[in-house]
Amino acid sequence: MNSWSGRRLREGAVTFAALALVFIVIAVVIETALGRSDSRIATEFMLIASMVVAIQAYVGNSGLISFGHVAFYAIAAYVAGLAAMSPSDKERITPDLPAWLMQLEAGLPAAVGLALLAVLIFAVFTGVPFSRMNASVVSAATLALLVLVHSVINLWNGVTHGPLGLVGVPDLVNTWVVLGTSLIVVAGALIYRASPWGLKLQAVRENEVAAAALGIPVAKMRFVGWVVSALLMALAGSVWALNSLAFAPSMFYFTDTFAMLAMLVVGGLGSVSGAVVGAAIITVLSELLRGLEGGLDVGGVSVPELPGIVQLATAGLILIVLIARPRGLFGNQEIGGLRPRHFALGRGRS
Amino acid sequence: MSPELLIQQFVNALSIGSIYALLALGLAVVFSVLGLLNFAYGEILTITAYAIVLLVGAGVPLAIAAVIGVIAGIGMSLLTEVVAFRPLRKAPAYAVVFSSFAVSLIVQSLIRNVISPRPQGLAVPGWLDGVLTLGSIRIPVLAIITIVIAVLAMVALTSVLQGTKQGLAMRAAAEDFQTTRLMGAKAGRLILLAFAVSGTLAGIAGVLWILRTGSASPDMGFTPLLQAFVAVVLGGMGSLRGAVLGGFALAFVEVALQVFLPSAIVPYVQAITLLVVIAVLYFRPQGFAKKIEERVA
Amino acid sequence: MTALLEVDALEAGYGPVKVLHGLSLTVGEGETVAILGANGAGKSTLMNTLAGLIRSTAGRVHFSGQPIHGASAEQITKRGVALVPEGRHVFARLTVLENLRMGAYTRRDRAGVAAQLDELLQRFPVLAERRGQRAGTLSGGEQQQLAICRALMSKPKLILLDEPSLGLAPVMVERVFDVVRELRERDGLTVLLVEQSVVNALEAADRAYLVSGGRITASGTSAEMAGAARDLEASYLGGESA
Repeated sequence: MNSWSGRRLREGAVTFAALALVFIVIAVVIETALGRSDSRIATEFMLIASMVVAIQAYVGNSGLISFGHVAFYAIAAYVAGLAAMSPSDKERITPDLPAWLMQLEAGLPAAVGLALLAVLIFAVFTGVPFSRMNASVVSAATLALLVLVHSVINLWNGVTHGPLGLVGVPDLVNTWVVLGTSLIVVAGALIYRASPWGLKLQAVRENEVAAAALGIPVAKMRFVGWVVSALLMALAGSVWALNSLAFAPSMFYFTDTFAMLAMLVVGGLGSVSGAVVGAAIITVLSELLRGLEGGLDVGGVSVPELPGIVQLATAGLILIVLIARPRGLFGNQEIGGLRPRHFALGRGRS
Repeated sequence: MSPELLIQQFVNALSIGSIYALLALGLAVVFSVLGLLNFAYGEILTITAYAIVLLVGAGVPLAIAAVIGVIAGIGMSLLTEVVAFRPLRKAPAYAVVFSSFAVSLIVQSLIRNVISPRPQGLAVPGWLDGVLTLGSIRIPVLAIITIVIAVLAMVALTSVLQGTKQGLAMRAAAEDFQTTRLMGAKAGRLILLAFAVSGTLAGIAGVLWILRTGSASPDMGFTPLLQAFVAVVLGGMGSLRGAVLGGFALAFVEVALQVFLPSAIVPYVQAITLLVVIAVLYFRPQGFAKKIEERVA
Repeated sequence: MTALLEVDALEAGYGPVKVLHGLSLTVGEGETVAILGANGAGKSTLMNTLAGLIRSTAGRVHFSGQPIHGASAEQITKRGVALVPEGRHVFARLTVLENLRMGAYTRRDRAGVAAQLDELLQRFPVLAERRGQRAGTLSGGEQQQLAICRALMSKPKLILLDEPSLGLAPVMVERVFDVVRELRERDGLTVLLVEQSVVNALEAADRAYLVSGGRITASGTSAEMAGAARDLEASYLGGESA
């Protein structure tokens, strides 16, 4: 029982190759052809897609919905940002930091490393109670976690600069770092999916009672999934922070949580490929609609301001996908394991 | 702390707890029958609140506006069942988490676009701001009204559940949905009834909420949703009695933290409450429910 | 003798797993018919499909001449078919009385319901004694009686009993089968019964069918089937025989 799934590893390798190709192409296009704003969007896309993959590592394998992963993203971003900022900036806006952090001006590896450590501690601390809870309770608990972390970040002015957020975070990241990060996260998720821990968690997802009867330690497997996905999230989140010059607590709350979960649903909860494809679809849709939010003139016809249209459309899309194809585009399949019939509409088999 | 202040805070906690208990009950009713949480639940409150604000703003007397508001809330609840739950009856359980979430965002978006993204104030009638003085104890009139209305609502719910055929069917369905169908009870109708009851409770809570806060904003439904979840989880999922207890417990913890914590930490009350809840769940993942279950077996 | 229930080439299962592979049988009005077979042969699947809890994928079922295949569980109960499910499934947190009242859900004649309630409580003093208790506190045999009475409350014409003796002590099993006999003799009901215990089943029934691999492989009167009991033994995993 303590073995890896050869099939999943093979599928994973093919999938990784396909996704890596996509990411590499995007990176090359960014470096050679895209202007500043489009570059920004494309780079963000790679990082957001990585985060969705990280969430998928937990949600897809366990079947448990988590609203709390953005909390890991937040912690990673703030720790990496604070670690990398210059001491003079920090003295100005976050005066209550402990001395060692205040004096620190870390480079990329140290900042990311620190963020991973912080999230590891946090994930272990929360994972212990969470992995003992039953399915519905844990979803509500992760929601509480999101609110908790957001609330603390928002209020702790001395350490996080409160609602105004961190400004002056150095840009330590280039396109190739982002590419590398995305590849690591995707590889990590695919490997976990094929690993004994991933497989056992999937067994629990399918039938908790039967899995327990087979001797699978349910709570422990959920714990492993929680921590693994938290670390992947932290990796992407800290790199994201070092790519964004500034960020505020409002970015780590409901809107982003919902957007990422939407990407997961559209792509298919059980699939890493789905997470990436879902992220792509929603990102494209959001960009197209974002133009409409401020109102625009299309060939003489004036479209009025429509605040929140992006969210509305995303929500509508989720509803449609759920009704027409509840398991998402990819269901439980990866690119490496596709057969033509999987693209039929309706309640696809997974 | 003086005894007067203690009593006042106690009443305050009871009043807030009444609202939380109603909220928790509404959520628990649907959960007990369907086994699913309604993420568009907070929007029932939002719709009720906006209905009241708009009607009172147009000159309708408060009492009538309140009734219409509750009816609007019931409508919202039924709509959620029809749009987010019914079409996904055969889908995996997590699907309705997303679909009801989506409904919630759609409602918020629509309010932002059709009415206004900015909060709308309610002109609360003067007498509701009044205070009752008993000796040296000052009790807000609104607190008393809140407690009385909430208790009446809960008593009414209990008598419907215990005394009517449909109520009996709902209790049976909460326990064993399949077997209830074998008795000839139509599944669809039972579920609609559960959502209607849920909508009534949330609607009444919405009335009390808007009277208390005086303003409605598009995303106002989130906090009530969270409070209801926390209360239901504390009380043990699916236990109606537990939901009520959970609601009061949550209120008391919140008020206690606000009263006894040093003022520098007070803004963190919500965060600390959530920490307390997570801690409770660590030691008792089933919430309060276990004790009640043991009594039955 | 008119056929109350006609099952014609019925196929059904759970998702991609088919359990019934073209099963046909008839039950005449007033008869008590037993369904015998090993575990996994499809007996419970048959009962659940007849009751409407499982959708059949092919074949037809007619009750009193009317088609009921494809009808929902609620509709089938309304037509006069009552299932007492395997494992009894009494509502544990509701009282005995409330369970019985739930059985009468489809009825509108209050007086009739009240009268039948009194009558059943008199007939089953053990239930009368525990009328206000939660059904979960009753013993297995008492719950079985409750489940049968609950089914009777809907005034069915056909009663489906799925493994009534499952998990019960021999003394209780006897009592349960007394009740089964009463159903025919006293209540004039038609009974279709699934039973592991061949002896008890054949004693209570007029005819029996043997189910194996989702099909009927043998049928006949109780006398005929009892005579072939030794062959039946071969169909069971450590089963009993007369």
